[in-house]
Amino acid sequence: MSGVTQEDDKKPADHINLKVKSQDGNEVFFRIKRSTQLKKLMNAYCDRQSIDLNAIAFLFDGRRLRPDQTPDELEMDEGDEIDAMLHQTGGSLA
Amino acid sequence: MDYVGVETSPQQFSPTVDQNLDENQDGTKGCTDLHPDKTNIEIDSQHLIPDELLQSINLDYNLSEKIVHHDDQITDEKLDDTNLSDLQFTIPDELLSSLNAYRRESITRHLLATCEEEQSDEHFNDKKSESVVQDHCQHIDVCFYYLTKKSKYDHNRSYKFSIVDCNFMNIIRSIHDVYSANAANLTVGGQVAHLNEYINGFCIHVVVPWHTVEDISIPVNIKEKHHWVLAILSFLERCIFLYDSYTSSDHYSTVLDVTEKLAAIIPLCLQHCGFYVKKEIDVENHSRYKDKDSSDMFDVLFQESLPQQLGRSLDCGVYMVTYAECLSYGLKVLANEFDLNALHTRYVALLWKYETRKQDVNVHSDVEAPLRPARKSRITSVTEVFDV
Repeated sequence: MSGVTQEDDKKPADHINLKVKSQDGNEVFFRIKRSTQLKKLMNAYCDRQSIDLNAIAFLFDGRRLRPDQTPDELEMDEGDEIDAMLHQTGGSLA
Repeated sequence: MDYVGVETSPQQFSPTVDQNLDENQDGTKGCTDLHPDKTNIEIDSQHLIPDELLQSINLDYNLSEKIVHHDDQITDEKLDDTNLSDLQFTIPDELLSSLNAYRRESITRHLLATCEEEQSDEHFNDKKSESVVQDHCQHIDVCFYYLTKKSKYDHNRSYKFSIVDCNFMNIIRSIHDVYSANAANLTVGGQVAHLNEYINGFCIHVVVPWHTVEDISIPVNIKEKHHWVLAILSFLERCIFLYDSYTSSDHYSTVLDVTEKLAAIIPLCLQHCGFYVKKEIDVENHSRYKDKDSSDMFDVLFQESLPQQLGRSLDCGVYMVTYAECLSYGLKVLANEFDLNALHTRYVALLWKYETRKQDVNVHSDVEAPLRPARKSRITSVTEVFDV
């Protein structure tokens, strides 16, 4: 992984940039092939942030992303945002 | 609709819902239909099932016939005790676990709670060590999604509301942190823009912009207490009504604390995105608004005399969803006790039914994706982008 600069001529159309946003507002940008499963992005994000993949949900338009889905399948567009949300649970122990 | 009887009786609950589904037959207006040549109920049901639930079925396709069979029984004969116990063993563990790790825990625990306590304990020893039945945010989101969907396509309902997902309160908390440090920084960091997407209906499937409805149902997770409460945001009352299934003194202050963040941020954001103009609320003259500024919090009102969860029970999630469902019919939540076993079973059965229906028509995707405007990519030459 390395920082890259954006040059339109260098960027093939089958790639898109996606933003993963944590609940505290931090943003990480990823470039991913439209046909690549989001698993790769999820793993890369968790590695970078040192969080357990099982502890968070990735949301796109309010719905959970599955690792086997691709940007193509979800009709994601350039610059789309994915929310990374810690799982919330409640059972109310007194 | 007699909701009092409905609350405690699954026999009445089921037909109520079926009726609602039937009423939705003409309700496909407004969605792009994947099967325009069909207008029956199955078509509607394609809009009822979120992908994440559907997936679990596909993984175990060959088990589905058995399940559909039982599902039909429930529909036709109503839920009786025999069918309930039957159902408990009908949803295989493998299917539940495929939804996600927590789902298996909560749903199976709920179902088996009455007669298979020990067995289920055995099952879940590898999970959380204490017996915390957790209502996972994904279940909450799915239930709220259905509630608003049913409301949207039921033209006989005069009461209109919308919902948000469980991430909404995270954004509120985050904005509040920034805002309380320095009020001038409210819009810094793009979180307010994110909130505006919710307000305009761009953020959630089943697009219902806020200015088209009276209230917003907000699932609020009280992290500190592992608790769920329901917040109803009422625009006309300029008020947040709070529905809490567990009330005690120390609990109260935590719930109030979280709710006040919502109460503080909401008026600022509504003002910021021009909501009041769209909603046609004249803030200068409206009786609830004229003496207030957008920096004045919405009022917070705790609803009293609600059905309460029992001392050691862990049912706050189901209570929250049931409150929301009662309210979604435009009804008040009465003080009658809820029959939790019936409610657990009912929600499981309904979700299962929706899943199988969607599977029956071989629909993989909901087509109600929000029509949000293209986002401006904020990548600049100095933004670090990671290739994956």
